[in-house]
Amino acid sequence: MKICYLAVLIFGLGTAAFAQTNNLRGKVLYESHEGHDLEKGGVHEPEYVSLPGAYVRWSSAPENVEISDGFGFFKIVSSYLGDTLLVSMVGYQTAGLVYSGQSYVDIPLDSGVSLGSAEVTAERSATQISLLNPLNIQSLNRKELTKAACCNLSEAFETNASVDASFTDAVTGTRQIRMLGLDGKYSQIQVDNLPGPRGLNVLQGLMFIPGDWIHEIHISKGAGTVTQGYESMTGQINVALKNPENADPLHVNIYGNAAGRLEWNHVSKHRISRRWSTTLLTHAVRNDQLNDRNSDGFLDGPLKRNYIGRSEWKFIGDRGIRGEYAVNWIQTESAAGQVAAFDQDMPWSGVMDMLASPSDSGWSAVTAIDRMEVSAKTGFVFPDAEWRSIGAQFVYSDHQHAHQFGRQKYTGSERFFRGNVLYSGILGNTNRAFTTGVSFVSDQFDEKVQLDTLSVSQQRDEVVPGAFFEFTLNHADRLSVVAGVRYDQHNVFGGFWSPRLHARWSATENTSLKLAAGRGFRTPNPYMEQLGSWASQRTWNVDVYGDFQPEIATNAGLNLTSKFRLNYRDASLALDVYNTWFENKVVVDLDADAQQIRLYNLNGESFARSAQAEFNWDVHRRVDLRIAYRWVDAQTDRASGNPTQDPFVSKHRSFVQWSYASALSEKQSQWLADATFQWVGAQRLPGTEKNPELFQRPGEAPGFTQLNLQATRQFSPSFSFYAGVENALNYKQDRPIIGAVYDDSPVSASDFNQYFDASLVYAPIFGRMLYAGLRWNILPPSSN
Amino acid sequence: MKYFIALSLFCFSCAAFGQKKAELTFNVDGVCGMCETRIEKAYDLPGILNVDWNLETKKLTVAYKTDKFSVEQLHAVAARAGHDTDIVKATDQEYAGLHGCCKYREGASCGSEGQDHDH
Repeated sequence: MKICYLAVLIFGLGTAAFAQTNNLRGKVLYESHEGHDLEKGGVHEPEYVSLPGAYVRWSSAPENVEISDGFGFFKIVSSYLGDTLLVSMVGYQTAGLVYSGQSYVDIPLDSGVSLGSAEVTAERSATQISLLNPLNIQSLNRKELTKAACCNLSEAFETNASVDASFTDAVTGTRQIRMLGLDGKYSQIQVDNLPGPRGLNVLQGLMFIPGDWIHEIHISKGAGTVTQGYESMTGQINVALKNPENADPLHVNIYGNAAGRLEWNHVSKHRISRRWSTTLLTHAVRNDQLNDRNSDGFLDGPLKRNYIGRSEWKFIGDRGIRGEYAVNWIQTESAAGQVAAFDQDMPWSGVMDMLASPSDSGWSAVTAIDRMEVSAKTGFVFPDAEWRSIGAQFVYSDHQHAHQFGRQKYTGSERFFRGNVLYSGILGNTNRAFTTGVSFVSDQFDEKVQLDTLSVSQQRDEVVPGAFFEFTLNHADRLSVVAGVRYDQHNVFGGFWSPRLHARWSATENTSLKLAAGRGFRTPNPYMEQLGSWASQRTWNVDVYGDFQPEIATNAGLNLTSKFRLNYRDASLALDVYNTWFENKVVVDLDADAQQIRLYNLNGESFARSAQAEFNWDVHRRVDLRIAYRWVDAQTDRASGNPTQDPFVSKHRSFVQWSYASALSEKQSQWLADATFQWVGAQRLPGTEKNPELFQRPGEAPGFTQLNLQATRQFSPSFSFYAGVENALNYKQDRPIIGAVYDDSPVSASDFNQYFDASLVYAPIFGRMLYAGLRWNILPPSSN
Repeated sequence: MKYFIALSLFCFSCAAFGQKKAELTFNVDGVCGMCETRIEKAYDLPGILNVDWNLETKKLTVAYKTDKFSVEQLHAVAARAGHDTDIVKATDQEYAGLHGCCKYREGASCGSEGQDHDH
């Protein structure tokens, strides 16, 4: 890692030092304001676009003209100090630079457009689906992300039909996401094209990505590209964080809600030198308020202290070298459980002491996570051949997790490293491109579990070298195909092939049909994947560790996207059908026994089928509408006689979203309003019928509706205030916690110790919640 | 679910609602993305359903309610914003209000910026 970093530094410095005194070298470029939607294979397309064919001359000798080459580079014989270098190009404002003896200069040209006082409206719809990309990728931009005050990634999908977000259980405060009817662990979540939440971090990792840090989210359904590993089955979610190229010089967000959560987010950008720029991102959450709105003796959500920081450094070299280097620190502490276990005046250190010695006065759940990540990406584009590039990506993370839930204690540590080297090129012409490369994964787990009766310790070291090849074919704009295969040699499970295929056929200019098929595998970490189940008296039946197998699944699907006009205004309709089959799966069986969580390898069949329809329409100049419906049928064969339908999966879900934006005034102030009405159908719940009547719950959760409203007042592009209400209809799950006291029926301590279960959450617990926040930016100086 | 259906029906019914609508395409002079923004914003008026100005072809396509606008009135909207059309020219005063880089009569030209790329 360090060596690589140094090598890049030295190389970068080397190119700077390499200059001849009698020539002036330089590069002509302009800053593109277009966002690039897809960073293929991690090698970025530059946002600074080089300008070939620009004229470069000295004002003292205007007849000697040099022309910038294919990469914008030029070389001109030096002139006397104080002479002016003139750089011109059709369509751009001519730039003049007074020569002061430099050996290298970058010359950005302003395009003729002045954006000084102008109305900048790069009008883009908030969610975009490309008709041309063979992968079925949906991109959510900032506009979409600000429609709900999403505090972190796990809350960012509420207005998205492709991803379901579960409701937080009362104890962990985590939201699981689900794609194509399957848990989020079967999708590959990436941050800036590097491995994101996975391993022991798979659930909570979503909370470590604050919403205000996010620039865009790309959701790709189907197995996806092979270049990023073997773990994706149902889809890939790539979160593009704000980086030195797209961040505002300063962005601050403050948020508070009625549940006592206070949040701070900040992103700032600094330019260090011509080649280096950096962003600093910080996030802090605090919640000290003891909420128990349903008076069941349990907190409705956890108390929190989260501190997250990220520093990212970006290098843009002159000759095709680019690099991104980042460090992430995460420190989080949270506590939940019975109100009786806490004291309003208790100092935070007192709360965290319960991690070592649980409270005697009530059931408590205390968690502490420390995590550090470093990553380095370096890419090189060959100056003579834009289509050839090499990229290297390295990521290392160290994850320490400790929790004490009741009398059950868990500590886990994971050290993860992945190196990925990619080479992209073409075969003959740019319609036939390929990416190939090798990867190396090392993943070390050390988990210790202390339950009432047993103490288990598990170590696992995974070493997985792999190689991949992916071919992209474009045929007459009508057809494009991405076909890839990778082979990985796992030190425990042996060799594994993952073939993947994506194809796109445009029936007409506005209608495209996409096909996706692929296979993937992953290693399960049940203790962390079932984090919510720790909030119960269920004992862990960990027989699965005797015969530890990877989870393997194949996914295939079709997507039809059509863009058309309705009442003279743009509209689109997308229809999806996907199917996932498991070859092996670690089955989580909560039905066999209401006091146990049973884990075993799949014996029989497991599949998830899903269908989805999404309709978007710009109804009016100021009004947008989205209507979506999705259907899921997810089944798993469980041990004899247990229901096969997966629990906590609603068969039907639909929502309608109306968005309103007023006209921009002279000062660019604006009103924005969004209303999302969601209906979630019935869900099967794990069986509790063997419990005494007081501790039974229905086997099926009723369907329910939820309404979220938000209004934003943008005073200027740099300052806006928003307020909203989540769950405005105030729907609350009936008696969410088994073993809590409802309707004054007392629960004895021994019953509590046997039947308590807070993990059966399918709907909001807190009820209606008000929130408000503000966003303040310093905008970049306009280009004039 | 009932709301859902009601809402969906509502939005389709407003689409079907009776007034006569038409779409018209004509030339509007302009040179850059800034012009595009200015022209399209000028048509942000009640009775205009949709508007799009194409920088490359200089063609404006506008969908409107025929009882609210005549063809001449539609041309006049662009002219009042400083942009000449085939049949209505902007007055010198209106033209003078344009930003320097948008002075299409003097042959000002702008960069590629501001063009709408469809991804």
